[in-house]
Amino acid sequence: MRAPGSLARRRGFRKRINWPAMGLMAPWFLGFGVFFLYPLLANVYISLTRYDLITPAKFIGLDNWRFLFQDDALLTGIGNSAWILLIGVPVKIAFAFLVALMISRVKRGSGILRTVFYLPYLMPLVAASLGFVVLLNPSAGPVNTVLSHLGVDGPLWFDDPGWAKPSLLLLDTWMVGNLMVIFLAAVLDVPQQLYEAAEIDGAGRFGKLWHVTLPAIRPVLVFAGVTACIDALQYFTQAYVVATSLSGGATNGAESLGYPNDSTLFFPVLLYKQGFRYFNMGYASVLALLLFAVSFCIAFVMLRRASRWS
Amino acid sequence: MRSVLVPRPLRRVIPMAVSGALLTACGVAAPDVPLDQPGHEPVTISVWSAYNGRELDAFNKVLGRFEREHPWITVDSLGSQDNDRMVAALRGGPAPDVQWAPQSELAGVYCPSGGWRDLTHYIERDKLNTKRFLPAPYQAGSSEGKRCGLPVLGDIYGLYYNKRKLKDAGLDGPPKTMSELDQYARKVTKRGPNGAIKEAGYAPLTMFYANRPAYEAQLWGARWFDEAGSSAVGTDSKWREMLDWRKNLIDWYGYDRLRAFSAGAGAQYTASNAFQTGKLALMLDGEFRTAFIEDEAPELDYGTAPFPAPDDEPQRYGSGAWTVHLAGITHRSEHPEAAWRLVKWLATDTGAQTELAKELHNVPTTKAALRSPELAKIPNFKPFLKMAGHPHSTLPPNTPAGLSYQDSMSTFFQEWESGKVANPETGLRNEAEAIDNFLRQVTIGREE
Amino acid sequence: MSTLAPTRRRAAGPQPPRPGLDRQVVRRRRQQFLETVAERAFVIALAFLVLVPFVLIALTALMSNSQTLSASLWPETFQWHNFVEVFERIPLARYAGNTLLYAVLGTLGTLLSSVPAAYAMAKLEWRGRHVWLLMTVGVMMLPPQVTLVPLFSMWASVDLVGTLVPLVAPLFFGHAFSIFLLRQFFLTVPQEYLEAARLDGCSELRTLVRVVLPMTKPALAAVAVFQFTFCWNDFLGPLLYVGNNESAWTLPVGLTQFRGSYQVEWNLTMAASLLAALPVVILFFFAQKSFVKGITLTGVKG
Repeated sequence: MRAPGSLARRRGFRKRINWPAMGLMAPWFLGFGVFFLYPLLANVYISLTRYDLITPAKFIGLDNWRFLFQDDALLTGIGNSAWILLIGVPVKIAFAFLVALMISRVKRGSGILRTVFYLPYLMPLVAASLGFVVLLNPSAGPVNTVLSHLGVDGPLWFDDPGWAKPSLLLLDTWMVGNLMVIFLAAVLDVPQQLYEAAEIDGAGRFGKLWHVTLPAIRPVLVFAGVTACIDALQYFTQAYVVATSLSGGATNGAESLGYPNDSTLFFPVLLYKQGFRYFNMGYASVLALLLFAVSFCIAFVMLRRASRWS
Repeated sequence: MRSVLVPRPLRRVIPMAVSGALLTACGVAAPDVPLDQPGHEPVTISVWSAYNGRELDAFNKVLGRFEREHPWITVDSLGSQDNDRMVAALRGGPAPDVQWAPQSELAGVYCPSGGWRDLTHYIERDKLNTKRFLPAPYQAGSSEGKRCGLPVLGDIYGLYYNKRKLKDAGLDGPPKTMSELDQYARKVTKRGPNGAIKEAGYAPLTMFYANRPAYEAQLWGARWFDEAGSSAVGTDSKWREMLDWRKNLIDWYGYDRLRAFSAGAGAQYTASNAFQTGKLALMLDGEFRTAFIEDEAPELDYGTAPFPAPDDEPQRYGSGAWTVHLAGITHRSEHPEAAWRLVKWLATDTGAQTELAKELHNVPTTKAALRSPELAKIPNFKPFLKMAGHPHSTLPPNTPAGLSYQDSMSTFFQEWESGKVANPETGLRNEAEAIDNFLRQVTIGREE
Repeated sequence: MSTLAPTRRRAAGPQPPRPGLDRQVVRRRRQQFLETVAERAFVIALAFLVLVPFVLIALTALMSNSQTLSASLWPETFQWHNFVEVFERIPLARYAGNTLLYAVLGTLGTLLSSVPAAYAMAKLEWRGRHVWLLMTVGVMMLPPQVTLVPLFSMWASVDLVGTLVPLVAPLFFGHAFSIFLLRQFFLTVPQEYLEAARLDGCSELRTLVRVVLPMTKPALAAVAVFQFTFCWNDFLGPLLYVGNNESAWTLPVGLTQFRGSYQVEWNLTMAASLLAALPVVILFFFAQKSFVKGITLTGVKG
C-alpha cells in the first residue's frame, strides 16, 4: 500500500524503477521472454542443426541456409504468399468497404443486412473450408451444377492451379464480415456536415466518397490493412484444409499439401510441410527466420506510418 | 481416457532430456526398448487406421477376434487418420501404440527418424518366417536398413475396362501394350459436334482419378533412383517414353478438351465416377474400385486386367503397381510387446488378412491369404490377386524425404501435359537435380 | 467513447423536392433516387448470395451419402438423423467440450494477463515503456509460424504435447494484440480519475480494478469476444499440439473424422461443420450488441 502523497514522490523518482508498473508488467515480461524472444533466438540455433524432434539436434553449420538457394518450392511459396498479400488483401478490403458503404446508406433493415454479411465470419474456418470444398466441387458441386443449368461451364475451382487461389479468395471474401462491421461503424461515424459541405462544393457521389469518406476513415482503413496483412502472412488453415480434403480419402491424402501443382503452397504451408511432415526442423527454422524478417519489415513500415500509436 | 490439461505422469521407459531430446538411445545397435514381460497382465493398446464407417466396422470386427485370442489385450481403435495425422502423432506427446499407415512410402520418414520402432529383434526373437510375405510389400516396411513396419493389406493398380464400349468399337479383350491402349483410347472416344469429348477412351491426364506418376512409373518400369541413390528421372529413358506416350494421346484429344472432360467427369469416389457411369471406357485404378462398382453401379458390364505393358517389355505384362498399408509400433508406445502381438497378428494371420481383404476389397499381403478361394470369388477381383503375385509388381522406394520426389514429378507431369515445358530432357534433368538436392538436405547430419 | 458506437448521425438519402426548385434539380434528384434503388437491390441480392453457401451446406448435410456430390441440389429424402448420427459416430460433444475449455481458459488468461500490462503501458510512467509498446506491437504483427518450431520442441521436452496446456498457458502471460487494444482504450480514461483514486490511497492494482475497469467494460468485452472466437476456431495450434491425442481434440481438428481410406462422407462432414458453428452463432445472437460494439471498437481504436 502506498502512502498518500505518493504521486509527488513518484514524480521525483521518475528515473527510478517504478515497482507497481513492473509488477503489472511482470507476466508480459515473462511471456515475451519465454514465448517470443527465446523461440526467436532458438530458431537461429536450430537453423544450424539437423533436428527431427525425435533424435537430438546435431550441429551441421550452414547447410540448411545453403538449401535456401536450391529449394524450388521456396519461390513458389513466396509467390503464392505474395499473391494473397498483394491481390487477396486489397480485394477483401475493397469488398468489405463497398458492402459497408452500401449498408450505411440503407435506412431500414441495415441491422439485418449487417448480420447477414457478418454471419459467415462466425463459421469456424475449418468448417467453412470444408463447406467450400463441397460447394466448389468441379464435377458435381452445387455451384457448378447451377452454372451448368445456366449454360456456363464452371471452372475446376480448387482443382485448377490457376483457379485455386482465386477460389480461396472467394472463401475469404465470403468470410469478410468482421472487416465489414468495422468499416460500417467508421462510415456511419463520418460527420454529416462534411458531406453537406462537400455537396455545396458540388461534389457528386464519387467525389464525396473520395474527398470525405475515405480521408475520414483512413485510420480505420490502415488498421484493417495491417490486420489483413498479418493474416495474409500466416495464411495456413484454409490452404491446409482445402488441399488435404480435395484428394478425398486418407489413402490419397499424402501428396496433397499445396495441391494442385503447389498452387496453394503458401509460405507457412511450406514451413509446416518441411518441419512437421518431413521432420526437417532445421530448414523450417530457416524459413521461420525468413518469415520473421519479412513480417518485421512490413511491421516496421506500418509502425513508422502509424506514429500516432506511441 | 487421457487427461486433456494435466500432463500424464512422466514416462518411465523414455529418458527425457530438457534439451528436447526425446529418445537418446536411437541409432545404437542395442534394442532401443526394453521388452516388457511377455506375461499376461491386462493391457490396453490403441491403434490408428485410415478407415471409416463400414471399413472401420470391418476392421473392428477383426480386432474383436484378436481380443478373443488374446484376452488380456484390449484394443482401442480410431479411424480416419491419414499419413499427416500419423506423422503428427510421432512428433511428441502421447501417441497410439500401433499405427496402420495407408501409404508405405512414409515409412522412409518414420523409420530412420526412429518414429517407428525397429522390429528386427522382435522378428528374430519370434523367428518370424518372413518368406510368408509377398516380397514387394514386405520390402516396403523397411528403410535404410531398418525394419519398421509389416505389411497389412495393400492396393494394386491395374486396368478397368468397359466391355460393352470396347465391343461397340469392335475391340476384343483388354489392350496389352501401351500402343494398343493408345489405339483403343482413340477408337472408343466419342466426340460431340464441336469436337468436345462426350465419352473418352482413356484419359491420361496426371492427377485425374488414380493417374499418378507413382503408379505409372511402376507400370512402365521407370526407375526413380539409380544404384548410387541419385534420382534417375533424368537418366532413365523410360521417363521420356512415358512423357511422350501421354503427350501424344493428349494432343490427339486436345489438352483443353480433355481438361473440360475431366472437369465434367464425376468425382472419383462417388457414384458419378465417369467409369461407373460409362463415360470413360478404360481407367487405371486400384482393386478397391470393384467394391464401389458392386455398390454403386452393379449393372456395369466391365472387366479388369493388368495394365498394358511397354511395347518393348512384354514380360512386364501381368504386373501391377502396389501401394501397401503398413502397421508399425510408435516409439512412444508404452506396451510394445502387446503392440507387436497385434502387428504380427494382423500381418500374418491368414484368417484376419482374408476377412479384412474380403470386407474392404483389398489385396492381402501374405502368400497364404493371396491363395484364399474366398477372395477369388469376388467378381473381377482375381486379376488383381494374380498381379499381386507377379514378380514385376513393385512399389516406389522409401526415402527420408517421404513422397516429395513423387510430388515434384507429379507437378512436372502436369506442366508437361499443359505444354509449359519447352525441353523435356532439360526439364527431367532439373527435376532429378531438385530431387537429389532435397534428399541431400533432409539427410544431412543424420546419424548412421 | 460514445461517438464510437455505430449510431447514425443523421438519416441519409434524398429529401423530397421542395417546391420552387427548377426542373434540372428535380431530374437530378430522380436520377439519384433510381441509383439508390439500384444500389439497394444490389446489396440485397448480395446478401442473398452470402446466405447461399449456408443453404447449400445445410442441404448437403441432409442428403444421403450416395447423393452428395452427385450434381443434385435437393435431398431426395431429408435425412435429419444425419445430425444424430454425427454424435453417434464421433465424440462431437467431447470435441466441443475441449474447444470450450480452450476458449474459456484462453479468454480468461488473456484478460488476466493483458489488462495489467495494458494499464501499465497506458497509464503509468516507467522507463522503457515506449520501447515495450513498440515490441508489443511488433509481436502482435508476427505470424505465429515464426516461433512454431522452438516452441513445439520446448513443449515436447516438458512432455506437454498432447494436452491443451501449450495452447492455453502462453495466454496467461500476455497476448500482444489484446494488450495493444486495451492500452488504446485505457488511454481514453481521463487522468483525473486516476489521480483522485491515488490520492485516496489506492494502490495501482486497486485503481485499475475499481476505477479503470468499470469505465472500459466494452473494451474488455471486445477483447474477450475476440479471443473466444479465435480460440474456438483455431486450427493450427490444436492440430500441432493435440493432433496426436484424440481425447484432447477440439472441433476444428475433429471435423475431418468422416474420411475413410478412399471416400469422405460429405453429408456427415457438413452436418458436423454446421454443428461446430452453432455455439458461436447462438452466442452471437444473444450478445449481438457487445459483439458488434467490440468489433467496431477494435477497428476504430486500433
